[in-house]
Amino acid sequence: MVIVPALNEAGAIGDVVRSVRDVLPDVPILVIDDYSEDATASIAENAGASVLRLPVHLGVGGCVQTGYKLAYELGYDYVIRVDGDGQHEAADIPKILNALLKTRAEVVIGSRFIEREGEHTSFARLLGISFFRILLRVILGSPIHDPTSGFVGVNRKALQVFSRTFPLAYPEIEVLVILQRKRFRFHEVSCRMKPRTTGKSSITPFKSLNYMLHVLLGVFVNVLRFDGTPRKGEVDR
Amino acid sequence: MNFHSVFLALGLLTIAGTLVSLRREYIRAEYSVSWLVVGIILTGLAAFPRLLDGVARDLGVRPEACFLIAGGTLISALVFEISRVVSRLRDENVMLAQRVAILEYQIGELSKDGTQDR
Repeated sequence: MVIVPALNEAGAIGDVVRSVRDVLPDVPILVIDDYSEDATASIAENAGASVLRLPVHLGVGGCVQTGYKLAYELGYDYVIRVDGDGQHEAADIPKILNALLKTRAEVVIGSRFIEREGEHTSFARLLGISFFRILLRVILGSPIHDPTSGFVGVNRKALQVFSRTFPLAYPEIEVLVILQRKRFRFHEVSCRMKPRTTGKSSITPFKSLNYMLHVLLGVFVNVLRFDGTPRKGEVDR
Repeated sequence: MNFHSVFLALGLLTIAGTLVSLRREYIRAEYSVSWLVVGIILTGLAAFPRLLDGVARDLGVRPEACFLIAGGTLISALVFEISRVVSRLRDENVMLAQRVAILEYQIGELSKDGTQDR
């Protein structure tokens, strides 16, 4: 299953769904609409995706986790997450799927830094990514090129964990620490990144600072977190 | 009006405010306990200021300052408790919203299947 978290992406979501359908015509596409104010849900539906509408805005983490929960309950073995803004290249999805099958890593990350140096990525973001690369190198004990990538494939084992516990606000980096805690493996494959063609990025200097602080705290909380007793809301159904 | 009278009034006001709020169902009983505890401790310390005299001597501060530290600590504990409750409620809300969305999705899919079968 391919899941596409989307918030106010009416301008891009139709093309995203159609491009995924062109590459993988038989794979179900699930768009998770994070309480958009525009026509994201109906456009995605008309383009051929199933749409799961959230009744309130949950943020990217809550939105992605809803997709993981549904996929897990429906029994899917592999789930690929593609962002709804159209920046990920649908043609790279098979690469991620193949890597999941061949490497047997629980998570495969589509990285824009393996062959290319972060095309279409702002300088401020590159700085942030470099900082987290260094930090995660220490925590994970192995290098990671693109820790903020939202182009991710997971297998059923990771799906089970993520459907129970998943960071709500800025999940990409914290997820890597969760993986390490669970002794899961991740693998990176080189992927292309397209420039955003519609809508605008919600990232502002203040949000970037907030992001850095929030993620740093989240990383350390996850490093220190005790796994003995599940928190409320993480109990298996 | 001296320092202790002010804190005695504050403590009594906290207890009375909590009881009135409980009676009018503005707050739930389980969340009123920490407010009542703060009110009772503030009232007790204000009514019997000598309780803190020993601590003030050990800390080398005036008893009034010790009283403020104790009050501040209690309020901090209360704010922490509120943060804990809010975090738990947020987690539960997210879980419920996700569950509602998933159920709605599954009902929608079942309806589609039913329409196709007919």
